[in-house]
Amino acid sequence: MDFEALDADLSRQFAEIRSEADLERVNKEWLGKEGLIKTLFKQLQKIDAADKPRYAQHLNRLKGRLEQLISEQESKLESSKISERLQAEQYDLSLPANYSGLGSVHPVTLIERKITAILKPFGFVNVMGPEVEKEYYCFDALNIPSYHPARDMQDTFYTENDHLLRTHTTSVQARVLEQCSKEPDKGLPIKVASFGRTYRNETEDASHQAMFHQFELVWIEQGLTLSNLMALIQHILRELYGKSRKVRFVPKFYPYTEPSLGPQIDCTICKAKGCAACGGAGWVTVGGSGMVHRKVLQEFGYEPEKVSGFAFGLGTSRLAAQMCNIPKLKMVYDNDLRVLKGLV
Amino acid sequence: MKLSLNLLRKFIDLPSPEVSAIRQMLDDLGLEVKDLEEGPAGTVFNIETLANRGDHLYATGVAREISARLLTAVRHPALASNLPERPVSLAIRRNTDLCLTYAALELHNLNALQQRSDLSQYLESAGNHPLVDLLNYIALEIGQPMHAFDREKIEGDVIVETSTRPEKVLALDQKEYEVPAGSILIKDSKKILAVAGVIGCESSKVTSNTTKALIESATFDPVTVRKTAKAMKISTDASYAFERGVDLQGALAGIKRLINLIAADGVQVSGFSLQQTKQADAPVFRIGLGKIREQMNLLKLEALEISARLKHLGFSVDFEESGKTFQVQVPSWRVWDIDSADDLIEEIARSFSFSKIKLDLPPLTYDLPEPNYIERLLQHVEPSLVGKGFFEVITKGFYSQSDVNAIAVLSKGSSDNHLALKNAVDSNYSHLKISNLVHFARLAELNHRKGIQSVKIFELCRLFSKSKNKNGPYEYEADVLTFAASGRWNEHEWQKPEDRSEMISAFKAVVESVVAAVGHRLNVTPSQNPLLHPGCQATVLAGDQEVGFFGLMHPQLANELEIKQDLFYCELDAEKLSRLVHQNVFTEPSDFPSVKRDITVKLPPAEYAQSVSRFIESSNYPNLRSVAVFDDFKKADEDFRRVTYRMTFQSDQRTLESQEVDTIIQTILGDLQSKKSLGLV
Repeated sequence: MDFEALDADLSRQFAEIRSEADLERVNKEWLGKEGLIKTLFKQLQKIDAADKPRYAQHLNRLKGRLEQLISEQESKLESSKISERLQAEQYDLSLPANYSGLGSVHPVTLIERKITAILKPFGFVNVMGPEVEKEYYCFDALNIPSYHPARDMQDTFYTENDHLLRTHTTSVQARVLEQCSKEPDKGLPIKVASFGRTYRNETEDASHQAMFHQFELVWIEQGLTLSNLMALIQHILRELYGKSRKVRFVPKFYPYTEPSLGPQIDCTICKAKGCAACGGAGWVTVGGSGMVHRKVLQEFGYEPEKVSGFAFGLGTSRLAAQMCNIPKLKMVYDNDLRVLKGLV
Repeated sequence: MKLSLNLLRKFIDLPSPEVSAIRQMLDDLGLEVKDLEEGPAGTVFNIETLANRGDHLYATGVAREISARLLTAVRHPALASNLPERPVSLAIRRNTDLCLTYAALELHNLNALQQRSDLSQYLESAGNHPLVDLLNYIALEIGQPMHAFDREKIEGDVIVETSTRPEKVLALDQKEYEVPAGSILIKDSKKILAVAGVIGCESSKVTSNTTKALIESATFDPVTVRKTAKAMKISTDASYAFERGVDLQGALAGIKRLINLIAADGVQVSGFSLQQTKQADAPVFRIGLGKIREQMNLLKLEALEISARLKHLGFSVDFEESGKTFQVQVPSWRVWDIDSADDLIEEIARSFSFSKIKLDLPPLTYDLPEPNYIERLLQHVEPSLVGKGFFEVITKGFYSQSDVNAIAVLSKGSSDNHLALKNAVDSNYSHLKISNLVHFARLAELNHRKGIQSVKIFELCRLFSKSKNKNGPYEYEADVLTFAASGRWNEHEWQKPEDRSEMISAFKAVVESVVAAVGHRLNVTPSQNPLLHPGCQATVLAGDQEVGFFGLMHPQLANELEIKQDLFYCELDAEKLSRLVHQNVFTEPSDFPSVKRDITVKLPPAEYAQSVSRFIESSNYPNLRSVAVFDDFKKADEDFRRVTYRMTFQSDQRTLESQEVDTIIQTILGDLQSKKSLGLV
């Protein structure tokens, strides 16, 4: 057998391999069941004993070389295949994805969450109440007598079933006091916060809406003082507006608190110097507060000589507008997705 | 109230020439200066007064507040020391105690009265009859509203009484008003002269021809005046003052001040009459020094200083050293708003300044409270919605009558369930909403018009109804989680717009993820909500609990509301969904191989595919792990759909034999035929 010629033939055939199919054909021709190597091994037994070792040596070397060539060719083909794929596959990853974008919660909700986070460490529970409310909880129980301006028909929405749409979240305070007064130790200490929609029956414009959002907290316990209330409000406002903000309190009047205070913060624009935005005052009122009026406590069986309490409320819609730089209150409720998407 | 700085300076020495410093002090005293202006008499403060402080409506009242802050004296205006001994030339019949005091002064030779521009320069609107300007000036100075009648236009006696029926009057502003029954009227024998505390009548007003006048200086019941003025839809300086309560002794002071001011003019003071209800003593309150110190957290606050400030405010103060208690009597101008010792704390704190109070933050408790049901629900579902590109919106709770009508076209009888508002100023707010669908559709349409192609919104809000809600926490309302999608699913225009079935699939996926977020699998059954497309809506079940519905807005309602694009809407009972929130617990996965088998059944076109899978799942076949719709196909010439279900079997203990799975499959097929009457393919 002319192994040199076989070797040369092998080299030639491998040099001509261009594809996996070529390799498969060569592989089959040489190493297949009917392949040359098998045939040559079968012929081994017919070889003279003297020539057998040399023949077998050549044959094994040929088979070894063949296997090596196949392996090399396989790697080469694989590598070339990957190169071809890499060359062919070019993706523009800058093209738009099948992504609908993130949504978001409303700025008012963000403010409510922020206030909740400030209050939780003090133990405040968030409670809710009806928006279609009884006159008693909205007014009478809160020391707002029948002749008070807040009860005028033009300010309050009255429903056909002789209820009303709550004009403030303070109605929740009345309900909480009523409920807690039935509990052992009158449910003290009471620490609740309420957030929600409130309604005023007035003509709407850029800064007045028939529906808006308020927040209110009430804390009833033995020994609470005006000083405690003011400190808590200052803490809340500085957490909300920034620790460097100045806070002051001016006297106010609310029928359900006595004393009543209006917390104010320094105007962001003029830093309390006075400018057009704050009407020259240098300060902006951010809510209402006070010690719970003794008549409100007495209404629910609490003895003002033994327990005291305070309340603080603010308009969360206005606060949301301020925090998000939304210029008009109306825009908070316009639900313009161009605005909401811009806040994500 | 508009108050001239120069007028204020007449009554008190101010510490600083700086207007800004005075403004700050007024703000701090509860006399909030809204703005400043320059008038003929110099700088004028526009002060927003507190609703309960009638004593803040005049210059000496403001001066008194400042005096308590600075502990300096107020220079009170001079009052005449003597009153005429002769009564007025007509009888005054005070027939109602709602008029607490009625003082009348008769003036003759009124022509001699000089115009006092040195005084009227402080008035907001001067240039009336010299007598009227003078009375307005006295009101600005000491807070007593007074009125002048032309004496010669009064016929018979002056009668002060409460009206028993509505009356019509022509007031001196030339307008006609209807005065409600129960108002206090000043009358003569033939006509109404004035609506007490509100406005005088044209028929008796003083003019340039008037030579004799009758001056009224009275105290009227604040509540009655307010009710009358509100009913008449009028607010005058007088009514504003009376509503907030004037000084109980101011009627006499007003008369004396007037006599003092006209003394040099040659006007003849010809008669005076006074009628009044005997007043109870002003109330007295006791308050401990300790309580004041504790409330203000100023433990070294001196009793002497507290007494001094209260006295400057006009209170009579007696400090009992032994009990460290103040006994404080309220002045006659504060009986309307001081009704407990708590009010005294405000008086003291205000005169000191709230800024002097030492702040004391209450301690934190580390016992964090449980979230309420809305908070709990949102903690679970909000990430699903926001993550899928939904924006929270806030819609109003109102409907207009036309919204109610549009809904009633499809939902017969729904008009009766809308809670109506009796007195809405805006006619668009005549009812409360029973669904959020209309609001969402309008909101989506509006945003589409602004160029937003993909509207995906959610809201947790209240829906209202006229009938009482028996299950939820509120009588006439319920919390619902609502969400909707309209237009394209994705905002960009890179891919072709989704067709309706793709939108249905995408929207249902959101419903599914919301239900999954509370720990349940979504199941749906056919529903019949009249506001949704009858062929594209379903009841939402969280597991086996019904929690709401979803579907496509009814095309007819869309037409009624002029909504152009499809709107997919879901409404879920928030309270119920929140109650269903649960955290799934760990179950160990099986390591044994699963076996899958497909079956195909003939399903009527209108039947939900899930009805079959739910039937199979609920039948507890052994080792059946799941059933899922695998294919839904309908040949054009067949009146049924071919729905293929893929069932997965798996055991926790062993490898299942093919034969035993086949046996179960045969049982299932048999049950579908016999119990569900379904044909097999």
